[in-house]
Amino acid sequence: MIQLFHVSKLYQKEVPALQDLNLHIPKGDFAFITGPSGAGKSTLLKLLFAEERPTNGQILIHGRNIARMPVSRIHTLRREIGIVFQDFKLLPNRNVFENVALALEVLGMPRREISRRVWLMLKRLGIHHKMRANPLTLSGGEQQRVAIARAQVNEPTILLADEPTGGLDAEASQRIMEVFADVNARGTTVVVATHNLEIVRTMGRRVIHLEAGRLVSGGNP
Amino acid sequence: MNRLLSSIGRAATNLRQSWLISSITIGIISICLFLVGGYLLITYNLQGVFEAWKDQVLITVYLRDGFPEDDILLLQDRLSSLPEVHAVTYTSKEKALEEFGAMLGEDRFLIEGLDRNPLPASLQMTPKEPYRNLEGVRTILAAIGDDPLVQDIQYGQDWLDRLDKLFYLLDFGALVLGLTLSLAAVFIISNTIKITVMARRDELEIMRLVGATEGFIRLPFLVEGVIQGMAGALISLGLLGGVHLLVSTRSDQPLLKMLNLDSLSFLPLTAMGAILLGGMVLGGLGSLASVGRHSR
Ligand SMILES: Nc1ncnc2c1ncn2[C@@H]1O[C@H](COP(=O)(O)OP(=O)(O)O)[C@@H](O)[C@H]1O
Ligand SMILES: [Mg+2]
Repeated sequence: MIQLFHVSKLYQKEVPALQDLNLHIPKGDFAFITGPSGAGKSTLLKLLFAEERPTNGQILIHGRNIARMPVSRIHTLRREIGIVFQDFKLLPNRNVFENVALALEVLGMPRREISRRVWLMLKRLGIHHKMRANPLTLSGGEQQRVAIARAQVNEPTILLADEPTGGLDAEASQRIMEVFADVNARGTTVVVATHNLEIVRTMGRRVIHLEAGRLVSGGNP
Repeated sequence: MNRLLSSIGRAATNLRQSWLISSITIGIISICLFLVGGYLLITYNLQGVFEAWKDQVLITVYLRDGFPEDDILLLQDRLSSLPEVHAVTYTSKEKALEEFGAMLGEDRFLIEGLDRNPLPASLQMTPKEPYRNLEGVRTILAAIGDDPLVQDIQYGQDWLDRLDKLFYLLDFGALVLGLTLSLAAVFIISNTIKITVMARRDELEIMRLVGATEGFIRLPFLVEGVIQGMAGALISLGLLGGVHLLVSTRSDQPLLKMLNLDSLSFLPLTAMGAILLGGMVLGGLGSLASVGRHSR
């Protein structure tokens, strides 16, 4: 469960990127965050995984106030949240398997268990046959699936995605959305920031609309 | 333990991937330690020369005429039993004259036919090792105290004074050189490791995103720094060994002649251990300094 109370974010002294945001995303929800470029979508996601701290307000994730979370505890939050970006952020000096395995290595999991879980996750996303490939040799859609596999393999309760289809064609975008729908069907809360209204329309899910850092609609489920 | 092993594994991978920067780091550490080690090597060898000088620290107690020999021997016993004193030898008036005569050689006729021996009897004292300096000699002088037999005491005060200053300067030099080079090394190492941190910032970013602890992220860098420091130290020791071999096997050995040395000794084990440990500490500090500044 994600709850925001009167959250504002100011970068330096300029106009706020987010202003007095109140938001409730229950466990198991699937929500889009929409709005024009610069509306504050990315900032909202960054607040959720504590990459940025709110200037004002409280952010509760599973009842824990992460606005006050000390830096030394942030890794516990990150283990609850999977994150996917437009540019995939895959490491070019590791193959597909190793990229996904990284999320389990940092947990200190034994090698065998890592191999088993990574294999199952890659299989579920239909990219197990590219396990030994360098991620740079894959198509955009495949790379995004590897990124989703990495974000999901440690079984977080929340999946955040920032413009996950930004670099993909319509068909690949549609397939990635199907992956998100599947992840959500297994009980994971999914929050996707996008300015692709076409996709949002076809998915028919909850829409949280931002403009100039303010909530326009969709604050409550 | 498992974590340390996996950190060593990751550090090894990192070293392989950024071998050029690692080599530069190792090179810098070895140069710094080579300079420090070279200084130690030189002073350590000169130490032998200085120790030899110290052996010459001698306190001569000149005695008044007219006391029976028994009294003198009693004084000799008292002085020998002082804890700071190594040995006391007695030179009688006759022996002093004999020695003086031997020194004069052909001119010894100058002292022949004297009706009275003008040379005083004396006791020559050599201090024990830790007292072969100005302070030690002063301790002994205080212990001798006022004695009716003693006419005068000579111990080459100026010379001892200079020897003391020299030893102080050598220690001070080692300290200043060691500190300066260590600081420089830490600074340079932290910067070179910063480059590897920058080169791997994508990896670090992702490790943080998937919930790695700061310890998990930093440990490999620490291990990497320590390994580099150790490698640098070993190389510097190798270089020092090479230089040592080169100098000590030169046939003419002008350096040895100049220093009045029979042979050049290498650093003692403790100094080699200190250099090795120093390298590891430098490498570890350098890496911590770089990762610390660049996390978050
Ligand atoms: N790191 C930053 N420093 C300063 N301003 C920023 C930073 N990140 C975003 N902003 C500003 O905050 C506002 C919202 O940005 P962002 O959250 O990226 O919007 P969106 O993702 O909806 O395009 C924009 O005006 C942007 O310029
Ligand atoms: Mg954005």
